[in-house]
Amino acid sequence: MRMPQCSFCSERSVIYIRDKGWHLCPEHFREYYLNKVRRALNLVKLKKGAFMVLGLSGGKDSFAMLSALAKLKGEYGLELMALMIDEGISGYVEPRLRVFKEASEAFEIPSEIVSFRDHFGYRLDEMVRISMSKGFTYKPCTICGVFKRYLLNRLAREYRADYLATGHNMDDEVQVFLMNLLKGNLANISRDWVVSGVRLHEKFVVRVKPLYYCEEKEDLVYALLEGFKPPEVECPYLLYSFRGGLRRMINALEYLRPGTKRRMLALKDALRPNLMPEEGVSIGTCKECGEPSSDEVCKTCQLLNWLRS
Amino acid sequence: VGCDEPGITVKVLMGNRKFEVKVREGAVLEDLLKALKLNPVEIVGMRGNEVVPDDEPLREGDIIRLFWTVAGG
Repeated sequence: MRMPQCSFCSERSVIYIRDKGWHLCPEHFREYYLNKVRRALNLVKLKKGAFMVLGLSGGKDSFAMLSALAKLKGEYGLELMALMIDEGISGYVEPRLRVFKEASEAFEIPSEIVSFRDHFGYRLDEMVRISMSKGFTYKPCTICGVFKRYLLNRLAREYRADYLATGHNMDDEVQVFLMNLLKGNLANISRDWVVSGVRLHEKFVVRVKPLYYCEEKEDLVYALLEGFKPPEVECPYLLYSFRGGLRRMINALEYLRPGTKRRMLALKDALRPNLMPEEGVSIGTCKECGEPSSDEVCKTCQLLNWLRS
Repeated sequence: VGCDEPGITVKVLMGNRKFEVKVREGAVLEDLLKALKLNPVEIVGMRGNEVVPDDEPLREGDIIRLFWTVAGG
């Protein structure tokens, strides 16, 4: 019985890159993966000596990003800080906090944990209960996403970060692209790239996605090779997510036609410059909290007002 | 494969679940995943501390831990 061997050396393979027909051993896979991260970082045209805050969740993408950037920080002259938001999901967040603490210590990156409760007065579990009692107007992923984006940007700015990096991967990008297509939201497609938030508002920290070209499965394999122990508890609110169905459809297509996700991302990147340019989008300031907002009152304040009402 | 047919038995660990699956001799990880109605694009398998590629042959008595890539980003 013959074990698959790396296409570039005689070592044992750990992953088969289906659309390229390559088998890769741990070392060649690490090189392949880090080159994808470099490809994204090179598009950002990072300032030398820049300070980058990494918004992490304690999951595989976070771990992979933290590990990859810890390896590449010297090459790009980056100063890093790991930031985790504790949303307040009982039973789910605790193992992730543990992964986050252990990983930032292991990779010697200074870290900070902040919570929804400290900043907004509620844990996500409480917010979901309130939403359910009011007819479930806002789904958990909507609430979580709005508060997390707000907090990450505000804190990164307060830490005087030049960049805010998140662990969005190729799968996330393709899913969001399809969701925006289904909604006919061309403006969002035009804004969504490796780097965003550059000219929209002075209070936006430039957001970067180092894992933009990395597939979800590659993130997990990289993280496992780097010592990641996946927490075995799943988010209890996953069943309310619209993206789950879309993800399954895209992955079914990827299995039938390897490279589907890569081609869809390339299509989005080719279309993007021809859609609405960022200069054309006006972002105002929330009259309640002073943070960037496309409405008079930002989504975060709207949600907080609704939760308190 | 059916209970009376020749094949190999592997133990599968997934989250908190443990179960045994009988697959045909020469089956690879991808065959096991398809038998479990799982999409290989969404799963990473490990044998002990080693990550296993989808086309790696399985052996009698293997203990394979499966990780769902979708689980909490």
